[in-house]
Amino acid sequence: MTGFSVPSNLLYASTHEWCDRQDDVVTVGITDYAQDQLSDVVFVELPEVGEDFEAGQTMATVESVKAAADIYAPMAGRVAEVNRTLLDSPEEINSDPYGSWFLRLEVAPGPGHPNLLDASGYRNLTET
Amino acid sequence: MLQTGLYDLHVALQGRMVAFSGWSMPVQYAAGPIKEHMAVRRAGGLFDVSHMARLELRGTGVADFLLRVLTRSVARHKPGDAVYSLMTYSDGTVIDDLIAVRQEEGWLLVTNAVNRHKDLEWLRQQAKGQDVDIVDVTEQTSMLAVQGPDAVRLVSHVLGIDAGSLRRFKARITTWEAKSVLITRTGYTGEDGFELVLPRTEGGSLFQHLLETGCPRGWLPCGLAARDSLRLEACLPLYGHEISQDINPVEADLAWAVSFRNPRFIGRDALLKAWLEPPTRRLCAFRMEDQGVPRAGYAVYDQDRRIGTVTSGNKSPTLDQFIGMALCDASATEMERFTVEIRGRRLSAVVVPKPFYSRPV
Repeated sequence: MTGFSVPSNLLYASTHEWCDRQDDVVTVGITDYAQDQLSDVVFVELPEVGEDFEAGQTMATVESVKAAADIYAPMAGRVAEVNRTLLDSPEEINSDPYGSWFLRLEVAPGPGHPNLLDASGYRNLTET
Repeated sequence: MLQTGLYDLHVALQGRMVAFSGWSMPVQYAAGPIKEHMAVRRAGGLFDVSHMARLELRGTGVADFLLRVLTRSVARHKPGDAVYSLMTYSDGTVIDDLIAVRQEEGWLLVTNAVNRHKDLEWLRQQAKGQDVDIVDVTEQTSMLAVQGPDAVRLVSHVLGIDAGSLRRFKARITTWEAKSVLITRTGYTGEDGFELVLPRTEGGSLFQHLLETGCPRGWLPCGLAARDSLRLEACLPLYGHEISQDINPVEADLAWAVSFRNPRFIGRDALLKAWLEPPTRRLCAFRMEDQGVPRAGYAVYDQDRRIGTVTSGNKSPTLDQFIGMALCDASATEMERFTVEIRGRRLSAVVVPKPFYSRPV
């Protein structure tokens, strides 16, 4: 498959979350490929600010007309902010997946994301 | 995997093909399920429903045979009549629901794709020793559903007939490119509309022609996802959800599709008993008061007491609410509220009358 947007400035989890790390704050959303697979998104459930997550834990849920999917923590951290506009307008995840961030995580200093892919790695994943 | 006669067209229209009851079917097209759903409510939608089973019954014994295997009495129906009916086992549980169309010679039964082989086996077993010939024409024919408030105009225009004069649950024969088309005023969306059965090879050209003509008026090709959300708003039952071998028609509020005046049908004794006794379970409609998406299989509670199970649920695009149906203890129909457990949380739902949507008259 081609035609899915995979911005080169982001990192990606194999579970289809995108991550934008600025110093020790990581913004998380779902990829264009993920929103396309889900189809029309109708509901989002977000965590509370201040909740702590280990890497790989379920942080949020996104539901489409077809199915529910979990959003996993790409790395360990504490929720600093959630995007409440998604609660009222979950369809924005379909129209603008990289503008529709779910939450921001405060993470420990240092690299700390050996399992995340760069854009070309993620593109390979979605094309196989 | 079986392909309908419209497979190449679906791919060309960017249909997302999924496996459904042994068929490769479009679950949606480029517009997506919600836009497809709203197109049907506002103008119209075109569905390939060729995966549904089409069984032709011929022979001098057919009328008697149908009085035994169908819960509706078909004794008085004339050519050009269509009837919704159930087929039940002797214990009153549902084998399938179907539409039976009386033709000049014999009957056509349209049944669920998922039950095609089970239905055939049951019908052939029941037909033994009688002059009843059962021919499965599913793979030799195409079937299209043309649904929406603009359906009369579109079908009249494209087929060159006065489609508006065909009344609901009536059938007639017309032609498309010199081939015979069976047209019935039926559907599964809660809208006005038609279903068309024609030779397999002609299905694509008719679909394409309907789409090209309807497109400027807001018509869209629609997939299985929109078909499901449309029928849910109209509270039309889906086999395996609201009806099954574990749910009797009285519980599913389908007693209207059972004619006790027909003295002979299989399952009559059990259904009469179920009809006379106070029901223990009933199908309820609900909308979520707390925000969450109810889905089939989720548990329903009254306080701490488990009272039922969601049979179907989703977002209603027309109402912009989360809605569902649930099979519950009969007491639930008199409740104002219950809770639905969604991923470990019990969320409040309001019990509402059925259906969620009925088309403006």
